[in-house]
Amino acid sequence: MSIALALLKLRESIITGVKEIYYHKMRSFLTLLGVMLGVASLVIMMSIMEGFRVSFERMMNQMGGMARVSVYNLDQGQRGAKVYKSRGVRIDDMRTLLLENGDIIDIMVPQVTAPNYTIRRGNKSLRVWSYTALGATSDYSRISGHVIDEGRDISPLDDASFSRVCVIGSIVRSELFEEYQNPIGETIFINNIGFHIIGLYRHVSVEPPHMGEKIDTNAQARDERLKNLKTLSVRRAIVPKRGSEELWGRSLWEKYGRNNTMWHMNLNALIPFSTFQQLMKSDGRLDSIEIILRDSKNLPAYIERLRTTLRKKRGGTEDFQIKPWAERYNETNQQIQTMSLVFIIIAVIALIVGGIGIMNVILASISERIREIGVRKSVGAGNLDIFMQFLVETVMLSIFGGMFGVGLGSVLTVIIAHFIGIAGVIAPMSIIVAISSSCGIGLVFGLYPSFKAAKLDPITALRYE
Amino acid sequence: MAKKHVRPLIELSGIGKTYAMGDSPVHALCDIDLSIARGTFSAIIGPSGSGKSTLMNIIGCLDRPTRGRYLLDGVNVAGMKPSELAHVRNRQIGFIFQNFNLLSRYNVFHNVELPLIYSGLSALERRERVLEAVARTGLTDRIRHRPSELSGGQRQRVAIARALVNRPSLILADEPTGNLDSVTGREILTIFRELVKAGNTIIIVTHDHAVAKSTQRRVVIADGRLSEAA
Repeated sequence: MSIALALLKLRESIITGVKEIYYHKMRSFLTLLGVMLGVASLVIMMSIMEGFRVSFERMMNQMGGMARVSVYNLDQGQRGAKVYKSRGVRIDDMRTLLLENGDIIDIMVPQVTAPNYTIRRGNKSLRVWSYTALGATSDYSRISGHVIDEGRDISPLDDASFSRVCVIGSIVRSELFEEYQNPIGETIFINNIGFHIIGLYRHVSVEPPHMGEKIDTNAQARDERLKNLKTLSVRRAIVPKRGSEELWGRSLWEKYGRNNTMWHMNLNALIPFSTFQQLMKSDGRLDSIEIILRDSKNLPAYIERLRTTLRKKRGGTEDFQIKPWAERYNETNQQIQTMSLVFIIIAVIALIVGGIGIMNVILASISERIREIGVRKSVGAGNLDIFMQFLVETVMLSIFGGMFGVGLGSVLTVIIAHFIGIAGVIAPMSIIVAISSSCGIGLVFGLYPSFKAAKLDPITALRYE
Repeated sequence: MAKKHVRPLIELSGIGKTYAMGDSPVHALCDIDLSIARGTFSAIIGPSGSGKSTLMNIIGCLDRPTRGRYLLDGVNVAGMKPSELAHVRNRQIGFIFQNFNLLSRYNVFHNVELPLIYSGLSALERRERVLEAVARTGLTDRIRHRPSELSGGQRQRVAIARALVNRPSLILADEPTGNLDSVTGREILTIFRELVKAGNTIIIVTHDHAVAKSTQRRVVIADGRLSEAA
């Protein structure tokens, strides 16, 4: 058989297959439903995991990236003398670190926060859980990814003079002020202590990426766009209400967190570190020391140096923990990979179930079409022709299923991502994987029915009632 | 007319078919010798169980004989592989069945086109041939109808068009009038006679002597053996 003839026959098989699918619309639809749902779940799972990864990566980049290291106190959960007797991570630790490791430290910031605090202005107040720092030095913006939008940042002078000033985030601004008001120069009360507002942080946003969006770690342009967008929604959100209102936790998330994985960074008011120490908490313990190292290449060696310094200062006791963000990054990435694997296995099982569904229907349709097979054979169809006809029909069915599945999966991904407030990136990869795997499913599960159909004896088939 | 050709279209010699039914073999056909000339209209007559279906299946290349030699158009098809037989069926033989065996979901055009699908003709050629065959059986105005929308006689004419479309050298009709009333049956036989006049070779397999009377030659089969009838 020449190649041209083979191609012609393949074309005929495809046409016949499509005709068969078309003539049995309902049956075909029910058949491909299984593959469709399998593919849809594959797309959804891959997309959501990809979205998680991308959001997380963006967050990491925004907060100093791989070179960032945090020095914490031991967890309260870790019991024992080390925790109870520990004086904790303190400001003089920073001095020692800087003295001995100045060559590898780029930025170092002390970070303190109250477990929860209230920000009040007039009759409106916000209760803030300790998402972000309350007190820090002037380098805080550099390490946290904040940018001053209006006014000025906290300066070293503020820190030195125990100034009662603060810089506020966009949520604090929109909750406590009307849109037309300029908050700079106004006074707000943090735990009933008055502070002058000296600056406004730019709105921080890592929105869940949308379908087809290119992943862009430089999010500035998008932030600009989003700021405009946010003004609209904020205007709606701040319709003034009579009487005292206090917003916190979940209701704030409902309002600001749905489309912004970094929303909590906007819910903050930062005061100078020294002022915090003086007015709110005087035991000298820090929540953490945040460090950005000069580079992330020799991370383990650098961390070892920091560790040695701190341990030496404590006479050998290690009542602190050093966590490189790279480690967190890797851990999370690994978790995402494990989850992806589990999800993909589930999706593959769904696909196989879909494939078995197709196989069943095709097998059933063969016994329905035995006469037809006999007729086709009597007019000259060879075993190969019949085999190809059924195989093509199965493959076409599952490819259609795959395509519908990609559509359904994409739509559901967008919907799910919107409702649970995470990113859903419909990766082109997931579409390729979905279509090719459904094609493969069709091939594999089409083999047996097609073989069975091809092997039918024409005489028996013609006589079949 | 037959004398023009030295070699007959069909030459069966010593054809036998044995089925293994459990331990004892069943001899469906024994030593069949038969030759059929081109352009003739013949009938194979026999009651059910006589072996006439087996003989028709062998002549139609649907089945292979256990013994003997079968020359179709000078080529021995007795020892061919199934794929080669499929090719022979496609090129040389047109089948007409008692119950029409049309594909119910396909319209007249697509039913008639079916053999051409497996012959590797281009869509344009196929269309021409289908229209020609449909015109010969007078169904041009029904070409987009499905079998369920046609009468029995029309359905059988679709089947005839399908058998003609590949311009086969032999048309095999298995009880072609069995499911039709006598008037329609006579119409179908008239079509057959016209086809024979136009040079086609037709063999009818039937148990009905009345049908067989309209043919030129009658062969009787009983218990797997042939005998010539008047």
